[in-house]
Amino acid sequence: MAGEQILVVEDNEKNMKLFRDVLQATGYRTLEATTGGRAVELATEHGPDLVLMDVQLPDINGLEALGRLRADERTASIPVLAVTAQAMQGDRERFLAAGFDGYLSKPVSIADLVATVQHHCDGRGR
Amino acid sequence: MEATARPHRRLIWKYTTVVVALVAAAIVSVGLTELYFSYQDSKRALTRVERDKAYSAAASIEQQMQDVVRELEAAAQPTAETGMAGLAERNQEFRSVFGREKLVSQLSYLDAAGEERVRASPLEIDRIDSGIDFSRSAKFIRARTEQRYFGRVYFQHGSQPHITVAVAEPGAGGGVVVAEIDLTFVRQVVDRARIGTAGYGYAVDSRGELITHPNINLVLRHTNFASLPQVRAALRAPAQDPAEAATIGRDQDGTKVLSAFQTIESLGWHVFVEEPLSEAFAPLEAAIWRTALLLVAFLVLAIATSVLLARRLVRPIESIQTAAAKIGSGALNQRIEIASHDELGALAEEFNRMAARLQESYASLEQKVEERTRELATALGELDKKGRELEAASLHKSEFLANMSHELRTPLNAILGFSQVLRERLFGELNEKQESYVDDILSSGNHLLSLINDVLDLSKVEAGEVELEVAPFSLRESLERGVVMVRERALKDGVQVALAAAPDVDIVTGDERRIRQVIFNLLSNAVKFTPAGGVVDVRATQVDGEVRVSVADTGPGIAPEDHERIFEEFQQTDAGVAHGEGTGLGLALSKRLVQLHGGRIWFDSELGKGSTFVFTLPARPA
Repeated sequence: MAGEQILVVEDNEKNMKLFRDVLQATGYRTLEATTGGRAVELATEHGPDLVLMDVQLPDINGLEALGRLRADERTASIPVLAVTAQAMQGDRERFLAAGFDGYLSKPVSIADLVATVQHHCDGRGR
Repeated sequence: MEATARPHRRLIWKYTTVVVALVAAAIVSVGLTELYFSYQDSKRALTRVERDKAYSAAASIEQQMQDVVRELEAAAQPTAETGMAGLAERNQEFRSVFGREKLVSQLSYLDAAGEERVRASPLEIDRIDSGIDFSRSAKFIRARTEQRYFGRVYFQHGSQPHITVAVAEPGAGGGVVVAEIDLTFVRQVVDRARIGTAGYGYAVDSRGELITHPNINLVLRHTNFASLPQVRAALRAPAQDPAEAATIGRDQDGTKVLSAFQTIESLGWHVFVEEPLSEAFAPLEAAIWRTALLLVAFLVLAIATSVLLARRLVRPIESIQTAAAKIGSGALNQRIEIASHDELGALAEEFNRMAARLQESYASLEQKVEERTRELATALGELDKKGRELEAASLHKSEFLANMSHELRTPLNAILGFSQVLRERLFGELNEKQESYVDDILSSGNHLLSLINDVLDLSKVEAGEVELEVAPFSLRESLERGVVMVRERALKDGVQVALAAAPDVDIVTGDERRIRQVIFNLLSNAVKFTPAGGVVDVRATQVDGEVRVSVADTGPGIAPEDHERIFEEFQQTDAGVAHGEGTGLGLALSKRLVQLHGGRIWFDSELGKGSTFVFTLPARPA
């Protein structure tokens, strides 16, 4: 395991626990944010290798948080995956068009999650 | 404008013509009657005057002539002496006659042999015993036979009319006394009988020859008037009643004259008094002129009156007509102003009432139209509002569905995630019981997820929000994928799945994801209901321009009572319910998706032998 740092943005406590436990168990380090604002702060501060971004958040939503990350030179190149319960028809296309590097709909298949995270970390110029 | 003026003129002329004709007829008939009677009266009066004059002239002449004849009879008595003494006595007697009677211009005595014995005249020397023989002369012979003789009128000294009268001496062998009578008095008498300025009198003898006439030349030429109608009539009927002796005749020049005559019986003469009609009826002519003038005056008056009357009569009609035309052209507030209380007034009143009714009904019509328009606008507004509300409701529904989906997926993520973590033994081993529980949690969670997905799909289809992403795709590949997807389950259940696609079945046009959804639904149903050892047979063929996909199983089949409701939402067969899986939405969704593609879906089933579900898609060559 490479021990890449992954920022998990999730306002639901149980889901946060699930993603954190799975990622840590799989060998990643995790940063946790329950709001969009906090996510931008942490990303700027720590420069994680990947961000798993929930979209529906208490303050600014995931799309706006993505916009702020992209706007900041320090965080602009960090890959961000949308992990959202917004899974209606056309949502995938909508998020990818908005600039997310990937899209996982809830309920997430653990196998899919692990494979996708692995894929993005591996693809990060190593 | 011309159209309205024409009937007006016609009416006026009609009235005028009628009135003028009536007036003219009345005046003319009255005038003619009056003229006729005044003509008759004038004629009668004039005739009486003429006749009276003729009568008095004739009487005067006869009287004088009788006086003369009496003198002659007295002179014709035999003398007391005979011989020369007798002749002298007779001569003496003749001289005394001249003294008494101025009309006698000459007297002579013829003896019984017709020889002249005495001749005396006031202006000449008496001749005694001249012996001139007159025995063959008419005066001698006719006096001897008829006692009296009147000769023809003749003229002495050119123009003095005279007549020879002879009287016989009484007793046989007597002589005859012959007298020449100056008739100048006749002319005077007859001239006095003239009437008016152009009137004149004349006398003719028994043969019609003129005795006297104002035109002396006619008399001198011995003109005979017997050819004139009135003279001829007088000569033919000398005994005619004098009252009818008046007639219209002609003078010698042919001019019409009113003529009356009187006969002098003793002489056989006729005295005529005449007047040209032009003068006789001059007063009548004046009357004619007066009547004509009156006629013209009354005609003018009648025309003026009738025009006025007609105008007065026509004007109200005209104003009614004008108003009617205005009302006819839409001016419903138009009213006719007529003050008269006759039938025209009543007509105008009725007309006004009609116009008022028309206006009223028109106004109420407009009001009704306005009302209805307002109602319609309101209804449209409401409809619009409802439409907006519906739109909002639809939007709300979509939002609600999205929210619900989101809110269900969030806990499901934890449920399924943790179950998978446990199942993958990420944090340690599970005992058999625990593993089976985790499996149950997983399958229940997945069931819940598919339920959510189906409900969302169906409600989108129902709302018409599903937009097919139409593109050519390989149906063969979709079928193969579907088979792969159910194969694991089929193997586990001991069911064999076979796919047989005809060579000409491959590319079709449609929404690949939706068609796959349908295929997977039918396949998973078939596998689910087919008992171990059974077969699911998938076939694809092209028939009559459409692609037909059939999925046949060897399951329990569908009871006839379930055939009706098998494609309805939340309807499951008892077998399906017993399986404890499936949402009851799969077939309903499949049916709608196939229909959206323009295809059909149906099934054949027999209890205990299995079911065959078939759907079609229009074949569109790639």
